[in-house]
Amino acid sequence: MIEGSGASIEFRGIGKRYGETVALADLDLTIQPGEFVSLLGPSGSGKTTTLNILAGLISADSGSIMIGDTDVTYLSPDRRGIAMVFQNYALYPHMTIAENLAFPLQARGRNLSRLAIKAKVQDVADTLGIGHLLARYPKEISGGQQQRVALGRAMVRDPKVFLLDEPLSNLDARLRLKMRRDLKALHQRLRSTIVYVTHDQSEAMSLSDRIAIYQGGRLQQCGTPADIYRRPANAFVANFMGEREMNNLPGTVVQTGGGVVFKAEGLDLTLPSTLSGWARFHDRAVTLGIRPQGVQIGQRADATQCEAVLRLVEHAGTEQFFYAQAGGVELSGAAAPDTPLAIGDRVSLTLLSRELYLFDTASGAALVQGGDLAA
Amino acid sequence: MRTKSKLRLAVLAMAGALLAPVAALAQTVTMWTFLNPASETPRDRALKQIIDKFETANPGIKIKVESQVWFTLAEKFVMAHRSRSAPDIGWVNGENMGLLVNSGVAEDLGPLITSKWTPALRQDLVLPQAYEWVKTGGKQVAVPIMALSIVLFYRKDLMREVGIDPAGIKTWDDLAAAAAKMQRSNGPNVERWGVGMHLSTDKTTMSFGANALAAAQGGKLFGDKCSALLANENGVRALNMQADLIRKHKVASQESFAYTLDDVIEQFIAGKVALASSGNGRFGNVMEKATWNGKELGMLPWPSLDGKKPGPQIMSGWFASISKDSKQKEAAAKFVAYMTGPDGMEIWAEPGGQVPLFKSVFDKPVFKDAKYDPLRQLSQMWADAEVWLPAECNAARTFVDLNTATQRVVLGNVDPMAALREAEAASAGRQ
Amino acid sequence: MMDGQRTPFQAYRYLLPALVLEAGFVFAPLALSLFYSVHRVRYYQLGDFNGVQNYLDVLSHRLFLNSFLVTCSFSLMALALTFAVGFGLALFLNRDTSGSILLRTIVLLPYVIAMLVGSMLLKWIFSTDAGLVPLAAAWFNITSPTILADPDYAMAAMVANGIWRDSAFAMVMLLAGLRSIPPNLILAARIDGAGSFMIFRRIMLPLLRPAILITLIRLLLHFANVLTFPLILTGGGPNNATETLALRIFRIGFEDFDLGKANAMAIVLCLFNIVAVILLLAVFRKTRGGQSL
Ligand SMILES: Nc1ncnc2c1ncn2[C@@H]1O[C@H](COP(=O)(O)OP(=O)(O)O)[C@@H](O)[C@H]1O
Ligand SMILES: [Mg+2]
Repeated sequence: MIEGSGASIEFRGIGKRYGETVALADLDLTIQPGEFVSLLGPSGSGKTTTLNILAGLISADSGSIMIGDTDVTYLSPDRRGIAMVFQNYALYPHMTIAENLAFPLQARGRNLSRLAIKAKVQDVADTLGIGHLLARYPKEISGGQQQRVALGRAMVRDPKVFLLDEPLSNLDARLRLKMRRDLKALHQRLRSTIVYVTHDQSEAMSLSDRIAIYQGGRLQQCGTPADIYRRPANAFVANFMGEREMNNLPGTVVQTGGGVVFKAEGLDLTLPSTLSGWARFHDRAVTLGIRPQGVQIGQRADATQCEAVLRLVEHAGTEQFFYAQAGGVELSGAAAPDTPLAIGDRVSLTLLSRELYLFDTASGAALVQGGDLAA
Repeated sequence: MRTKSKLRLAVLAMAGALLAPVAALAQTVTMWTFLNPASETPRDRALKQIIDKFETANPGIKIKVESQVWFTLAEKFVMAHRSRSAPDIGWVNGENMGLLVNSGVAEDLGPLITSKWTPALRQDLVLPQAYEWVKTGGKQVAVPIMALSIVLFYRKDLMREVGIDPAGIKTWDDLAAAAAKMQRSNGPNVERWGVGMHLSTDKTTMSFGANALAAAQGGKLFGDKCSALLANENGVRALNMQADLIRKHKVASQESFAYTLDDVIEQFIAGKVALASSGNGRFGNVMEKATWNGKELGMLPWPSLDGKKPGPQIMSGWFASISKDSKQKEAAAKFVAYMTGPDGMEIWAEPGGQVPLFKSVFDKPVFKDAKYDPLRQLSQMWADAEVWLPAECNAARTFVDLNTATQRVVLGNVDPMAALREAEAASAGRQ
Repeated sequence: MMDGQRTPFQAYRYLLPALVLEAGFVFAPLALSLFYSVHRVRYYQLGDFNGVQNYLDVLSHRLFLNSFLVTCSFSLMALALTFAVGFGLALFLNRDTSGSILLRTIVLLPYVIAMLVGSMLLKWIFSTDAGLVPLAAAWFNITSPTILADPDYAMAAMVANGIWRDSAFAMVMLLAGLRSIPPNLILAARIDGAGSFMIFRRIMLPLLRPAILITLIRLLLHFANVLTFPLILTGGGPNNATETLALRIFRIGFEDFDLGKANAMAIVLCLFNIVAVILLLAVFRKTRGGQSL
């Protein structure tokens, strides 16, 4: 069936500006053959720019790009061995699905026979389950089907590299989840390199071998989903990953007679002895970060504790989220769905040590990741 | 009681007497003309003087001038009758007189003006035919204000240079020979053509050929019912004469087929042609604008095919007519009579620069000055060769038909007689 | 129940202004023209009913066939060349560099100056005595033809007038069409490996169909009816080589003062327009692939 093996990609010092705006700053990134890499970041962070430079649709101001062993920096798009799926699919509205799929095969220099093209189109259409739509026009099929056609048009040429720019963002939530699974399955079968742009962290987490996370035109961190989640390089990455934002408590670390204490606004948190190493951060402004999952109700030995009053409770199916006032700070946490919680209750909170992060407030750089000192 | 009512009556009578001139003041006569009394050209100034003098003499009448574009003036005047918005007085040019005559919108000026003339005044007319010309069915539909004819302009300096006596140019062959001598070339490029002709099928006026044909037919171009008299021996000779100036003598540019009268005059002013026909009204304008010494401008009597008599001065001019719909025909007629009478004519001559249409005006001592010589020469040429083509016959289009025929002969290699038959048929189809 | 009655009423209410305008500016003049065309109307005075006589006179005239052919050949040549030049300009200037914005403005100039002035300007340019064209010809040592006095050159000059003035119109229409093509489609095609020509033929051309059709129809109607070019530039000459139907109508109506015949001919020209547009649509439909327009 459709066989293809991916090519490696290497960005070397790629930069791009639009007037004063730095769209992309000094990007160095290497992608392994057959790898599925997501480019993740908020809107305007430079993801599309990266993709378009890779595709050859725009040229970089500086740096070079390798695909496989070839320097493609100055090659035209069609000679880079890539295929691209656009956010709005960019299907040719005046052509049937079959003609859309056949279009890349008819390009000059391919010299395929009519029959060969037909067979290939049918093959790809069947793979994607759109074989029955071949005679229709794009406007006559649903969004999910259009999405598949766009994928199919990318696939027919057996490209070494697929570029996908927010391919699922125009679909509704359910369909998005289904397409995610299908994409993953497709990648497993094709084993071509996929560069996938998204602003949805859960999409990136569930699909990718590795995630490259961007902010303001700069690559912040690149690593496996678990790596990025557990060992974020800085406060931005830590906050961007995960369904909910972290609790961020600006404060200082103080060595007292009773041990090491983290002083936040109106709240002193005595750290367990396992975290005594934090004392070394006593001389600077730091921010304590903890995801809601790390803030639990009840007392636990050798963990950080505090007293709080419940302010708000949200049910979210498999768990509950609550907001509690502790001294001058508000903490959000998670509890099992059947825990009885009432607004106004006084509760004891435990901050799990392995969920604690510490960032330098000024630079945002991670000092402690998941309870461990950063390397 | 009685005294009171008497008093009232007296008051009323006094009020009436006071108001009468006011009511008379309200009588405003509207006139459409191409002139603009607020402007500064000689004719504009003349019209202003005429109106001022008339209004001073007739305090009860005010003349309100509404200026129009000259070439649509007659059409607008006739059409305004359909919408009942016609002015009291409309100026009509000779070329469009057919429109006025055929449409029947003009009041008979006989009872209002011309029948009031004294026999002496009748004897005094320079162009008696002009008045006959605008009579139809015994009705005087208009009276002439100023007359014009298409004349032949030449440059005295060029004639001198090549040693030709203008008075010796009697036939069209003479003219062709003179033109050839005055022509100047630089390699294949002609810098100055011998003659300028306007043979386009655009709105146009009399061509050389039309003049020659009319001359050969005793001043006639039309027979009964406006049937054009073109397809005959004389027509062929006239047509060939005109065509030969281009194709045989090569003294006129082939581009003549694209030129209008205006184009040719521009070229004459620029010194690019040595001879050109023009309305005499342009005499002063050409003199003033010429890129050569304007004082050298002269007028030549038309040649003819046989050279026995000069070719005709095909007359035209501006005429005044009064609308049938006018509510104040008497007042309007009073002004028209003044404007076209001996007093008005004196002003048309000075500052207007026109030939006065009463002989007695020219006899006045002021007009003995040499600067009136061209006007005097003109009135002499008119006296010798005045021809009015029938007003109702749309002569302008027949001139175009003749131009078309010439184009057919030169560009289409059509036989002259065949081309003239086509032209005659076109003319007939239009009546 | 109420709704069922109100909806059509409201629809008409919204349509009404357009209908009134249409009636006032299209149907009324057309009806009046028809009325005059079956009457004797000389010197602007309405005369007797005379049936189809005006039509017979007009159609049987020696110059009718000539002006019909002149109109056809002028319209076709001007249409083809103006469209081609306009399309070329649109493709060439379909960028937003400062140079192309300037060029677009320059190209638009002939379209925004008065038609009459434009034609007078060209007449001057083409004339032997003062003209730039003969000057240029002399410069290249070509004996310059007397453009406006030669039947073929005069027609060429009139076509040139059309191209000169109306290419800008074609350009603007087609540029609008080009701008409405999503840029992603072009990018996608480039990545799919299509060269410039394939992108043009397979993507741009089909997507431009509506713009092309509208441009062609507007140009065709304009050229078939234009009066200014022949009236000002060539005067219909020489030897009637550029006398279009529109010019004949003008002359019969306003120089021969025969509005009856002029209106009969105007109705004929109107039918000519309708037939021309139908032919154009038919040709266009033929070239339509499987797609819907
Ligand atoms: N054509 C352009 N002109 C000017 N600025 C641009 C252009 N394209 C992108 N930018 C800017 O570059 C930055 C990165 O854009 P982009 O790569 O599209 O972001 P993302 O895809 O991550 O949302 C943004 O600030 C954006 O405004
Ligand atoms: Mg983007």
